[in-house]
Amino acid sequence: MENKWTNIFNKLKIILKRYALLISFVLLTIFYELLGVAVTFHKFYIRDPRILFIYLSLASVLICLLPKQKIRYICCSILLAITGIVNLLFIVVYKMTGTIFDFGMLNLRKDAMGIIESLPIPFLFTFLFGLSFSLYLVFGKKYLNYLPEIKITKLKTAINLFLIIILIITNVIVVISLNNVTTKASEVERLYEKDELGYTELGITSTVINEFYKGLFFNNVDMGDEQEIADFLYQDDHIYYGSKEANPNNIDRSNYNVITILAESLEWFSFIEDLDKYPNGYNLEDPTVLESPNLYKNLYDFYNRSIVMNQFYAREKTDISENLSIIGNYPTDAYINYDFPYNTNPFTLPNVLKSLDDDILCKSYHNGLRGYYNRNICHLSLGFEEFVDTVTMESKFNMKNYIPTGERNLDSEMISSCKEEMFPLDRRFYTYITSITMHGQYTFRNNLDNKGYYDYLDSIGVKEQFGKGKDDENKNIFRNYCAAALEFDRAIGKLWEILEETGLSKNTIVVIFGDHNAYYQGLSNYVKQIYDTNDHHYTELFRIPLMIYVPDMPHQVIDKFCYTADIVPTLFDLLGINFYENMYFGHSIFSDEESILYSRAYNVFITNHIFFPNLNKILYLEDGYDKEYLNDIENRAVKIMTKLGYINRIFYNDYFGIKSLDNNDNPIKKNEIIFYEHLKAINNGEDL
Amino acid sequence: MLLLIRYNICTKIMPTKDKTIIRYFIIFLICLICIYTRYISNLFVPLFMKVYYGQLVELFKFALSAILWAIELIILCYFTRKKWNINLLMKKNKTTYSIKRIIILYLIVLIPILIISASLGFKLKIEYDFGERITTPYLIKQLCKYGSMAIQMIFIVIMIEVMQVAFDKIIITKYKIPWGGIIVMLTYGLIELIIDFSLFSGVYLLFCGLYGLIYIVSNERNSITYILSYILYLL
Repeated sequence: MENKWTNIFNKLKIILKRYALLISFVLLTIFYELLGVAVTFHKFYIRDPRILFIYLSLASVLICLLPKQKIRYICCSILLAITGIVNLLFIVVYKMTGTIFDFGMLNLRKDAMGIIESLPIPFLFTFLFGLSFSLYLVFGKKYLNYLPEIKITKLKTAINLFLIIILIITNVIVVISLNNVTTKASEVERLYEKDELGYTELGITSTVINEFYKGLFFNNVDMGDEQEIADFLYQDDHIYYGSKEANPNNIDRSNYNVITILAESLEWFSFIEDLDKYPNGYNLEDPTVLESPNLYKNLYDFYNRSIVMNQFYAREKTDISENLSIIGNYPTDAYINYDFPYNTNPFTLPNVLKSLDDDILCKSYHNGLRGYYNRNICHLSLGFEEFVDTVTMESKFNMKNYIPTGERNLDSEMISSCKEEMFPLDRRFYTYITSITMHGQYTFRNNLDNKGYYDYLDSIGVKEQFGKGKDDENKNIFRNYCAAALEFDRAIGKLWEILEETGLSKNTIVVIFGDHNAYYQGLSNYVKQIYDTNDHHYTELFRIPLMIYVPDMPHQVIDKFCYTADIVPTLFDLLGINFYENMYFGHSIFSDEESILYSRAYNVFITNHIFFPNLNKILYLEDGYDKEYLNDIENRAVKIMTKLGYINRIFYNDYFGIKSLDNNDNPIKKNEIIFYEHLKAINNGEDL
Repeated sequence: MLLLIRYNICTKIMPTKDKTIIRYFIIFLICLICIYTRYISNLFVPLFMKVYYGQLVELFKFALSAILWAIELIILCYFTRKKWNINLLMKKNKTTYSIKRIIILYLIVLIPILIISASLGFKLKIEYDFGERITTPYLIKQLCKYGSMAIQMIFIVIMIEVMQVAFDKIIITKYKIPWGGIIVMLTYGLIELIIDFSLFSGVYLLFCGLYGLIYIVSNERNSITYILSYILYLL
């Protein structure tokens, strides 16, 4: 008996020795994957490791086909290095952007430098990966000569080849099952998914592999029945005919101009003291000093003239927020700016305005780089006649360009330089301005110092800290952010001065909204002292300003929840434009319906009381909100997800750009024509 | 450290008649001078002041230095091999290491990395170098800096090597003493400390000594010394 066990033990020892390189490769790969998940999502498991196991099995079988231990050693080392580097790379990407890898992200690679602020190399992962990988290399090489060579017989080769075929088939089945759970044409299922968050679901390498499969083979959305899309969009009981609250005095606003200002990273705490909500924000003896001319008088004045949405939220990066405020919807798993820059989009705000008023001039301005987020191409398809960027502002309007010196341009200088073209007096206009001064990094900037902003902050005690500690560093970040906010205040002051001088303030609606919180350098987390979904009032982290100045409406503060996609329907409502609700994710802030924020970048649902990736995983629910509230949330989420399914079909297939021939055999965009016909019909009372 | 402590009784300074030793000192001096030819690139700065508003001046400086060093290195290696039959880069000493030696090498590299990372709040030095305001020119500049350092490191390893050979001939000890590292530390390291009086240059001075130690423990293998020294420098 003892002899038998000894034999088994010896045989096992030989096998272990023979496959030592392979076994250690498999174990190390699993370790890297688990470590990657632990570093990013603080969990040491992968819920669905099927792709990982298939990858490992396939790699192992292929390596087993190799005859020499030395060749195996080289192959295993290369694969290990690739796995480790892929993990490291996407940990860094996650730490920089807060998002996990998706195929569409590859489109952003050209703009990556604008997003990068630092290279947060994870110490633990790098150290353990470096150590274990070098040990594998060193000891693998040292003992390579002691490892028994393996005879590759024909039978073994045949078995391995058979296994490869089986694994490839299994891989196909797994990938199809993973990616067919949610088809983009039926997004409601996202709500009921049981997936774990981020990389905990598949692991990092498997997510990357799966995203490539998705991007290459599953990224098409079937158009389906065109008529069904039309039936969904043009439902008679989903036409929004405006609300009394949006125009209480029944004034004709059809000649009103519109200025929308996307205020980069604007937060309430940039100019308001509230120690309860912003414990690390301003803490002044006399908070009213913030309203003084040297500080934020212009923002306070604007606040006091506007309809202030006190529960406005955003959880996207700038490009998506910008599009939501122009288009009112956004597809999943793609970026409009890169994936659909030439689509026909009749439903965007500028296109709708132009279809109802031939004379309106729609232009977009941004004092940043021309090609950034592909705006110079995409904004034209959104309906703007021109996209005016820094280069044009510098050459045509003599605006000072600070980009070559490594600093952000100044918003007030953009408004001053371009005022005549931005706010024409001879035509009705819709001007979209994307500001940049408040963009991170929040470090000391000479151009802000030259304007004296740091001195103003010093005068109220928001002074530079010279300590090396984290708290002092955060205080300086806040101070630098405030200096940039002062510049934004001056821009608003300049804007208001022009509107007053020209009389445009009497017939111009001005919208100012933050595109996202001040997430650079963790500023929002620090000021609000919110870091985790377990923290009290977690969703407060994403609450930012929305102020709408309407000449004939008094200042009011509204506590209704709203988000970036609500801006387009609200502007329609204010301008007296009736619209088909199913085309847009949001609702007018004056309507009875309340929205739910669905973040395309982070795949989460948010309101002021709840935060969840799916209904099976509610990460934050404010105390006192019970089942009834959850039912309401579910209804709202189902509605938006249903719309999203159709929006995907529209974007992915350029539904409105489909060409057909008219009676004279001329190519026409039939669906675009139908949209405008419907739009005009519901606005002008015309028959279809 | 044991190596250093245990050499005591066996040290002998030999009045050597080997006149080739002077050659090693000459090579050392040439290498030291070569390193500081990096300042030649400053002469070309005005040429680049107008390229991208002067943002790329540093990049050009590093690139020019790297090119200059590469040329100097090729010439140096060629002449030493041709005239004195000294092969500076290629060594045929390819013994396998014992487990003990491997562990010591690991410790020499890991302990300083851990200490420095811990003092930076468990951030790797490379992350600290990149800082928190990365722009495209800055990123390119940093990468060029690491690139030029990769060439500079070859000079440092050569300096360590030649000083080790020279002092091993002059001072006979029972145990190996990292003369190369000590000399480089007291010359090049000290000069760097004087030029850029900062904590990092102080640490760099100590690192020069460590490079010498790595050279000894790695059985005087240039390639291993080079790789480990560069990893130490980066991380």
